[in-house]
Amino acid sequence: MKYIPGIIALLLLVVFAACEDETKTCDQTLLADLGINFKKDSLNGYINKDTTWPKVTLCALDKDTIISQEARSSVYFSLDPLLDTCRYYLKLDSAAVADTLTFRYTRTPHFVSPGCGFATFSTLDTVICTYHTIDSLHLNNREVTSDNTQNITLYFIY
Amino acid sequence: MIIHRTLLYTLFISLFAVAAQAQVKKDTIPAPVKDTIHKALSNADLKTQAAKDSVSLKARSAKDSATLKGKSTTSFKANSANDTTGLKVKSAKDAATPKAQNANDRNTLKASSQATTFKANPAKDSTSPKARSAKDSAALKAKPLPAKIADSIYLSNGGIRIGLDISRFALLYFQPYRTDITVQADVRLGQKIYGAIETGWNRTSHSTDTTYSYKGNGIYSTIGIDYDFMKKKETTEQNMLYGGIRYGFARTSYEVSNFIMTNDYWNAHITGNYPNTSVTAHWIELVFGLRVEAAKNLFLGWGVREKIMIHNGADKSHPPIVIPGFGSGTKNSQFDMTYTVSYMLPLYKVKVHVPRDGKK
Repeated sequence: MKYIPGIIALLLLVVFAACEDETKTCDQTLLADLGINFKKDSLNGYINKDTTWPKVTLCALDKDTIISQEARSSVYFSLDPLLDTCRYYLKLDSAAVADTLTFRYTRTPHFVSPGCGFATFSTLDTVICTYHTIDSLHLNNREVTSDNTQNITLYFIY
Repeated sequence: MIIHRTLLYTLFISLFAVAAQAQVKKDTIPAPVKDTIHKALSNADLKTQAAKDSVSLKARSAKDSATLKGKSTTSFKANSANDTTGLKVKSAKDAATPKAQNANDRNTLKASSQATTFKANPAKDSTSPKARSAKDSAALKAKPLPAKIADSIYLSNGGIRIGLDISRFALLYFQPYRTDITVQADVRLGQKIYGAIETGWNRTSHSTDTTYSYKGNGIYSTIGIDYDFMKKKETTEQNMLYGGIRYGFARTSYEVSNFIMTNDYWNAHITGNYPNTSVTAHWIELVFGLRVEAAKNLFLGWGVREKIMIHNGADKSHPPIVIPGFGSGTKNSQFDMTYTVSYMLPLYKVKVHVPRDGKK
């Protein structure tokens, strides 16, 4: 008899869990951004450490600035959902020469959740960059989704 | 002092010995053997025996009255000692004042012997104790004691129980985008095992101006077994506390007539659609519930379920919102609750075996 309130509470919990209206609330992000982190290459590639650039400026070509002279160790931005290619301008320091990153990818509408709806996920095909400040580029994960993955690592020697 | 103690100990020991002997007798004489003796004396034999008894008792009472008329108290005592029931008490009373109460005694004895005859007529075997004990011993010798006392078996209703899950209608209030109808049926396969089947239909419709419009419908079936854990207190009781496992299979078709995606940085407003797609899904359910017979053959029951997806054939980029019978199409496991009203069609009987020790 003493367990009856507990059993009722458990049943109510189960009822609420079972009857949850998934379409009412969006509990996930719809942003599917590509992530890039920065690493300093010391001792000819034997030691790679995360590094923070003091004045990072980032924008898509002919578009508004996303990041303007901010200290960053990584950047996140979205690929053009209307086209299969886009170009970004990346200046890591006020004294450094800016580099350009070109992305080629395929786009897929992805159903995130009943409450959130659809977002554009992409699969990277090719990444091309200039090597003014960047020493090398490594592609970690081709899938650009909403899970905040760092898809690319940029290596620098200074 | 020592003599008193010795006497007291002897008395205790003798009392203990008598009690122990009585207990041993009670334990060693099994019920089926008793039944067998009664059965042997019943019906026609019993009637004949009772008729004989009444005749002999009448004759004996006549003898007794004659003796009382002519003989002393001693002879009366001897006669009355031979009488089977009731006579001893009467004769003891009579022995106090035998001569003065001779006439009264005769009447009383007649009455008591008549009473004895009435008592003996319906069922009692009033053969002399010696003869009866001889019969008993003969029966015991002829039929050896069974090594184990037989378990009891009774017949319980078995049949098809068909029900409707009314919690699906309540679900419409919490999840207005889905409509479900679920029919359940189970059939008693054994004493505690039930075969269970469930089938249902689902329609899902969700539409918003800002995100997407979705329509889908499908059917599902589950099949499995339930095990009844409840110990029945009565032979007619059909309540159940059950646990079970099910295999579920669903086929659904759905379409997204339009969806909208926006990106503020690129000033993008993208619309699209997914054509009608059909998928299948398989899962396993673990069930636990209670079913109570509210009226004759009418059952009410609730159950909780944990559903674990085995295979979902839907494309990960656009899964169905609802998989019929399973629930959310975007999850791999799902909790659910059911409330069922069902009616049993009793078609056959099932043997229920109850061990003598009370374990079912």
